[in-house]
Amino acid sequence: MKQQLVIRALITVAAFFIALALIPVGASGVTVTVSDGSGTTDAGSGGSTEITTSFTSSGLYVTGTQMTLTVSPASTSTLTDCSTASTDFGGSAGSFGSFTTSTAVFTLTENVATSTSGSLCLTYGLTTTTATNYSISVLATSSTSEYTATDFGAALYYVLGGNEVTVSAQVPASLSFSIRNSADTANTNVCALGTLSLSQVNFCDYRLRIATNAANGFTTTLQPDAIFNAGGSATMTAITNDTAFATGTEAYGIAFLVGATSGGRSGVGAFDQPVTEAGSSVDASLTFDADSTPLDFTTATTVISYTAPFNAASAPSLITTSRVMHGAAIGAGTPTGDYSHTITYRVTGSF
Amino acid sequence: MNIWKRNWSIYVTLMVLVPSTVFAMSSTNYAIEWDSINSGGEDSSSSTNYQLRDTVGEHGTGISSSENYTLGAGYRQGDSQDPFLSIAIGTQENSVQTTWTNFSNSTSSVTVASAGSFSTSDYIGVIENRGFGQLVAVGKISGINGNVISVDDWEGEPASLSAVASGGDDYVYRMNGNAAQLGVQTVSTESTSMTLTDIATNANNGYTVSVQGDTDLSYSSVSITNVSDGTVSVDAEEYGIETVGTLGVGTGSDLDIPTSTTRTIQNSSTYASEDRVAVIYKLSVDAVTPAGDYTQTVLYRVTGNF
Repeated sequence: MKQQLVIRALITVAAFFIALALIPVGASGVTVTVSDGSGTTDAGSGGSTEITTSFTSSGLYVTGTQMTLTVSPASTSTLTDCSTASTDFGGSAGSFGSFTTSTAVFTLTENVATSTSGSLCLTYGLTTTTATNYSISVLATSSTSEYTATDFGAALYYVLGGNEVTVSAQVPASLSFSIRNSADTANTNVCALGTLSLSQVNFCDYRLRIATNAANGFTTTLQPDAIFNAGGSATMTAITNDTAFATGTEAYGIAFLVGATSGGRSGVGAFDQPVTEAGSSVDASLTFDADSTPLDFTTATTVISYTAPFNAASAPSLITTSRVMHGAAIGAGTPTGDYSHTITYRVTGSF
Repeated sequence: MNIWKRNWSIYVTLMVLVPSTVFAMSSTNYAIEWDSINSGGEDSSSSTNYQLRDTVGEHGTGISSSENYTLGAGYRQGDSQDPFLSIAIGTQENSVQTTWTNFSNSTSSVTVASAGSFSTSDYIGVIENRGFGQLVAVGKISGINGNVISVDDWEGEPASLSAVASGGDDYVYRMNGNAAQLGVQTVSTESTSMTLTDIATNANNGYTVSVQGDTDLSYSSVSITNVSDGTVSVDAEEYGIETVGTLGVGTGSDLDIPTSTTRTIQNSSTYASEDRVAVIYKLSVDAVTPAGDYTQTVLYRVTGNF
């Protein structure tokens, strides 16, 4: 009787401990990565897509281990092998089967050692119309008579911009131009040389104030409407390019043109660059710079330019505005009269 | 006879104390990974937004551990190993905007001028004092009663918003979009646009959310200057983002969006359900910011730490 009692007690206790021993252990999260044929996870355009899922085993996978890949939301078609079917995981043989629209099971026919990295490829049918983030999860269950170990993890594959935010902003174009007095304190459109005499050279000047956010900058041209003249047939001799005015020698033209020495946007975003003083497009021998230039033509010619946005500082500014000076001298034979002509400046932004 | 009765009593008691027994069983074509003896349950209960799998009648369920072992007791421990990970992104829809008058963090609600354009399950964002210093709260609509919108929970900085709007620049936006439209820029304007993230995962070690730009905010070969001093300032040409929320990373500063690397904006060390942060895009231009139609694609990526 006592022996039967002991036996029953032992059986009961054994059953209790067996129940505890059969609870799964060794479950471990693993890092899962996915990529398509282009090697990315977020450039998917949908349709039939081969996606490789990679992870590293946290423990031993025995022969017969099943690795279930699950896609959510489900594929639009039954999952299939890739064109080059996966036949191993980390070098250990196996194959896919049990395909549905959301799962496929890769079954090992060899053991996989602990900490083995491997990849499995499946072809998924993905939406071609709606931005979607697909979750691809892995559940690898390795079972023996003594234990069950499970690795699990998931990663996202993004289709049609499912993980994208498009940021946009519009900056309107701006372009401004004014002709200013030499102190840059007021607008002007007159350059008065005054009464000329044999004993001096007369000068007058003004400034060009230009600002623009044109990404490719601006170009400024000037165009005389006529040779400097007193009406009728009386004109004044043009100065020779790059020569000085001389008292008592008839000559007219630009004495100098000094471009702005600052205001242009640099490559690092500062506005500290000078404009470019141009060579004449009418006559390559003419230059608009720190010495004289004749104005004996009536076609437009570039005088200054810049290839990026230009910021004219608040007035008055003598460094972000360009200064133009005209000069005139007469000789004994210079016909009397009121001499004039009109210079037209045009500024064009390159947006 | 008494001894027999006593033995049977002990045997029955032990059975009652071990109601859930887990076996891994298999045959040629099938395997039962785990099962339990219990009172019942259901695997496919669902509502509009949720699914429920439940088991009734188990005892002593949950996670226990020792130095070398972890015990997952209960039938649903097997379910919980099905890993999942998701991200939802919603951007401020400038065309779906209304003003608000009253805000409550405790009751998760906001009173708006008109709720006609909003629906249950919409994401919404509340802004007080729109501009570079704006205060924000985001949530998902759980109900609408007249002009009172209730959300499941506020995230962002709801405790900082005023109960009564100061007026003039306090708005509620629907946030179901995918574009952050900063609009036409003028000098001295503080341009902002808000985006929210919503993360769910059963990764026990949490997750990380990062952002990366495909390019700088640019037009043709011209780029807007990225913020570098922690603050996007008005009247200067600067662009950056501010992350707001308890799970936000780098909060309190304006940061650039890198293009050759990633920037972490949100993380957690545990599983997540409706984890949200707000991301505020900020832009200022000056008089000579090159004209153009600027764009940038920002990629949000989430990694589950299983």
